[in-house]
Amino acid sequence: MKRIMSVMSIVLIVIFLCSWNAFAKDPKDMHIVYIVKDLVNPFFVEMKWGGYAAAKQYGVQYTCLAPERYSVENQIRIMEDAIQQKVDAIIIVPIDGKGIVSAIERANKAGIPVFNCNTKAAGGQVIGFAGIDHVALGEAVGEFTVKKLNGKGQIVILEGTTGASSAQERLQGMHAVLDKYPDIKILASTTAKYNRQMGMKVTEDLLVRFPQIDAILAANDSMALGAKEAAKDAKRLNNMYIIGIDANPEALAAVENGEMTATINGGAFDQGFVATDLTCRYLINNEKPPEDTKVRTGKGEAVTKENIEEYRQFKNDLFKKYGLEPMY
Amino acid sequence: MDTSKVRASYQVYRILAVVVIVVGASFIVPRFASYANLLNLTRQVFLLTLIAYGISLSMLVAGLDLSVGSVAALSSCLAATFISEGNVLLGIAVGLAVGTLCGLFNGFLIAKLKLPDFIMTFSMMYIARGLALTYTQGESIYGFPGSFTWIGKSFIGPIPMPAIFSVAIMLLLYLLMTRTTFGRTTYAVGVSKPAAEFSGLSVSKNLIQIYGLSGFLAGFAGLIFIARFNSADANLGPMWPLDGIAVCVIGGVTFFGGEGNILGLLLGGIVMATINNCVNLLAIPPRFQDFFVGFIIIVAVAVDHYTKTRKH
Repeated sequence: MKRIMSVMSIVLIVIFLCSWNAFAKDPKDMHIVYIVKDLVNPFFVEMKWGGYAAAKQYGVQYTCLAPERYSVENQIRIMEDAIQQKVDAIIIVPIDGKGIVSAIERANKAGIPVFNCNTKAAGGQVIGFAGIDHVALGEAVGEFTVKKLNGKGQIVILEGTTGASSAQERLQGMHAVLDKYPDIKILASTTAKYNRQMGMKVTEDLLVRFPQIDAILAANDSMALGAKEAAKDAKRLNNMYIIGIDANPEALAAVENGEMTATINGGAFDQGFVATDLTCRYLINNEKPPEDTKVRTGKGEAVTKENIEEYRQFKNDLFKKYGLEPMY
Repeated sequence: MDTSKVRASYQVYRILAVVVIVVGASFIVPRFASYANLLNLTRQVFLLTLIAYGISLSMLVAGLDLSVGSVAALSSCLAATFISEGNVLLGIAVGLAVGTLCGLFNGFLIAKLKLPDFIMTFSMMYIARGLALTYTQGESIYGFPGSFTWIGKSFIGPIPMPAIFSVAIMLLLYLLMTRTTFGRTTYAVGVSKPAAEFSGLSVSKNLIQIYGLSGFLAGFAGLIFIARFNSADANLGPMWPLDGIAVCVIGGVTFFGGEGNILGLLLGGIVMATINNCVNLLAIPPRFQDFFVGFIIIVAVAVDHYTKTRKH
C-alpha cells in the first residue's frame, strides 16, 4: 500500500510538474513563427504587421518569414527549421495547400501546434483556420463591375495561379454575380499567375484578340497593374474599367490617379491579426480556436477614387491603434 | 561536305522550320497574322531575346548564368529609387553598374576560385534577390518620369522601342562575337579551356569579361522592363533563366560551349513568343497551358535535333 501510494504520488508530482511547466510558460518566452507566401507582395507585408500587432498585445515573441523564392518547397524548409528550433506555434499561409501537408504532419509529430491562415492546407492537424472570404472578394468585384457596366458589357477575367484555392474561390465569387447577367459577356478567362509581367503580357494578347473590352477583372492587384500598363500602351485605358483585389499601396495610387477603376480590400492586416490572436489565445489560455474563421474586414466595398481618402484613413488608424507606422 | 557547308545548310533548315511554325500559326490561330498582333509579337520576341543575351554568352563559354533575373531585379530596384526622384541618367548608370558588378563578381569567382559556374550563379540568384528584397522591404517603387519610361513604352514608327534596343544589342553582340579577338577568344574558350590556355589565351580574363557583360545586359533588360511596368519591385524575372535557356537552346546555342550564333536567338525568340502568344489567342484553358507550352518546346527542340543529327 505504501509502495502504491508513493508511486502514485510520484506519478502525480510528475504530471503536475509537466502540466505546471506547460501552463506557467511566460508569454514572453513563447515564440510564434508566421510563414507567409512572400514578402515582396505588399499584401503579405501588411499581413505581417497584422500578426505583429496581435502578438504584441500578449507580449509573445513573433517572427514573420517567407521563402526567398515563391515555392512551397522553400516554405517546407522554413517550417522544418522552425520545428528544429522548437518554437511554440507555427502559423502557415501555404503557397500550395497540398504541398505543405508533409511539413504540417512533421510539426504534428513534434507536438508543435500549427494554425492555418489565408490559404487552406489540404491535410495534417491544424488547430484552426482563419482566412478572408475569397468568394466574397470575387463577388465584390462582380457587383462593382455590374454596377459600372449597368449590367451590360464585354469583360475579360485574369485568374490567379491555377490550382490555388484563393484563385478558384475568387473566380467562383465573380461568376456567382456575373452569371446572373446574361448581357455581360465573358470574352476570355485565363490565368496570369498573380504576376505583373504575365498580367501585362496576357492583356497585350487579349487586347489584340478582342477589339472591344469594357472591363478587365483581375484576381489580384499585381495583374491589374500589369493589365493597366498594357491597356495604357494600347491607348485603350480610357475605354475600360480595370478592377483588382488586395488594395495594395501601388494599386491605391493607380485608383487615385484614375488608371485603375477600383480595388477590393483584401483584408491582409485583419487576417494576420486574427490568426495570431487566435494562436496566442490557444497558447496562453488554452482556448481552442474555431475550425474555420471567416475574417471580415472593416471596409469590404470597392475602393474607388471617390472613397479612397476615407479608406486610407481607416487603414492608417488601424496601424496607429497598435503603435505601428502607417503604411498608406 | 565540309563543316561550314553543314553549318550553313543546317541554319537554312532552322530558319525554314521557324517559317513553317509562324506561317502555320497564322493559318490556325485567328488574328495571329493581324497587324496589331504582329507588332505585339515583335515586342514579345525581342523582350525574350533581351533576357537571353547574357545567358547565351555564358553558354558560349560552356557556362550558365542563372542569376540574370535576380540581378535585373536588384539593379532595377536600386536604379528605380533615383529615377523616381527624377535623376534619370544617374539611375540608369547605377542600374547598369550594379548589374555589371554582380556579373564581374560571378566571373571573378568562377575564373579565379574555379567555382562551378552553375553553383556560383545559382548562389548569386539568391544573393541578388535577397538584397533586392531587403532593399525594397517588399514595397514597389513606382511613378517614373516620361524621360525614362520612353525606353520601354515609346515607338519609332510602328516599332516598339524595346525591340529597337534589343535589335541594336543583338547586332552589336553579333559583331563583337564574330569580328573581334574577344569573340574568337570566347569561342575558343567555349570549345576547350585547356586548349585555349595552351594557345596563350587568357581564359580567366575572358570568363570575367563574359559574366561581366552578362550582368551588364541583365541590368539593361531590368531597366527596359521597369520602364514598361512604370514600376519596380524585387519580384522581377523569376522565370528569366528558364525562358532564356529555352530561347538559347531553340536558337541553336548548346550547353557544351563554342557553338551557336547570337542571331540564332532571334529564331528561338520567335518560337517561344509564338507559343506563348498562341496560348492566349487560342484560349487554351489555364489548367492546360503549362502542358501545352512544355510539349511544344519539346517538339521544337526534337525536330531541330533530328534535322541536325541527320545532316551530320
